[in-house]
Amino acid sequence: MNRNSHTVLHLNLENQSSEIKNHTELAEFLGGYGIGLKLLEQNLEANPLIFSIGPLTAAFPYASKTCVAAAQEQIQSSYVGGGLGAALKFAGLDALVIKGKSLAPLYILIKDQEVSFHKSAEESWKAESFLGQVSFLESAKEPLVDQYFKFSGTWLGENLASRNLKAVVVSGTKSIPIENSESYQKVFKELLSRVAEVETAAANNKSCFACPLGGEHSFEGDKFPDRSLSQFLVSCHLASKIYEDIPTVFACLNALGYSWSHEALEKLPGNAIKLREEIDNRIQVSKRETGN
Amino acid sequence: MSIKQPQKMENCIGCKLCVLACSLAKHNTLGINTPLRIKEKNGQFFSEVDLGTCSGCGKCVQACPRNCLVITKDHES
Repeated sequence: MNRNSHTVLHLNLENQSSEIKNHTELAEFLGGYGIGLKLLEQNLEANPLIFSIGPLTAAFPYASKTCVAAAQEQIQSSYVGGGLGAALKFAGLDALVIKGKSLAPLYILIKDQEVSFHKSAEESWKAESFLGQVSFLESAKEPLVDQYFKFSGTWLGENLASRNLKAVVVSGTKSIPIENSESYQKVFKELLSRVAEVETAAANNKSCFACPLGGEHSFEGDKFPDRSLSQFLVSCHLASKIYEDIPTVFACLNALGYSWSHEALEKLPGNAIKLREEIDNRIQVSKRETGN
Repeated sequence: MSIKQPQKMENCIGCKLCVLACSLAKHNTLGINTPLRIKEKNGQFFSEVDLGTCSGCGKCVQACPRNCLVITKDHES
């Protein structure tokens, strides 16, 4: 695992092709919304749909959400819980870039870094999903992950429908090394002990990966303010008291072997806002040129 | 010793903190290739344990926030 490079799976629905690329230029955007924006910028003309996870995904409590972003009429982003982020992480992937439209309904099966495209026979992918430790995103007006976790907003359902993409099924069996095992275990325990700072009471609902709460609002899609560090991590919005704290984030990243400075973390939201403005400008120019 | 079914899985919320603890104890890495697996069928979580590779260290039992897992001596041979 290279902390200075992100592994991205590029998928083209039109010709049902896939390619793994390593992106060193994403490192300065850390993860989640940050790398999602950069991948949007790089692929803007192809109208991509981006799924991205963060450096803490599957490693620390309350930090295993998935960011989804697109830029058609405007930049859209949404966050979802469940096991999708962890499945991507254990597949060795930091992001998915989905381009194009399929002529016929189809689903994508990702097993580690092997990809297969299948005609959408709903029951077949569901049967496969339930047999193993997998996560799946199901297209609907309000798409669901693992049949429970919702995205905020309805734009994703429309985007998936326009592509004829019915489901994305992900399973991963890779192991993630820990750079500093002693400090990792210490930070992990400390974060679990701060459960009272997470803004939901424990309940018996389905939980996101590595979250002990199963809280009342566990299924809800997250929305973050522009300057939120949580959206880069991609942590739970209900745990913002924990993950907006830069020393805590610094300790988590350090335990996993990332060499981020406090200063760089503080600058991150500002850099992403600048990038988003650049993308917005390109979208507006494109609209004027096409007369839309 | 080993963890052994039946577990008290009706309280399981699927967080998989047990699997992470197992992975750390067994391999000192994060992953799901562990003797303990948590699966889901029809909205219910259930555990599967590879009794051949489970060392019975009990880390999963300690990690479970809902006390779903039970450790027994039944597996000792």
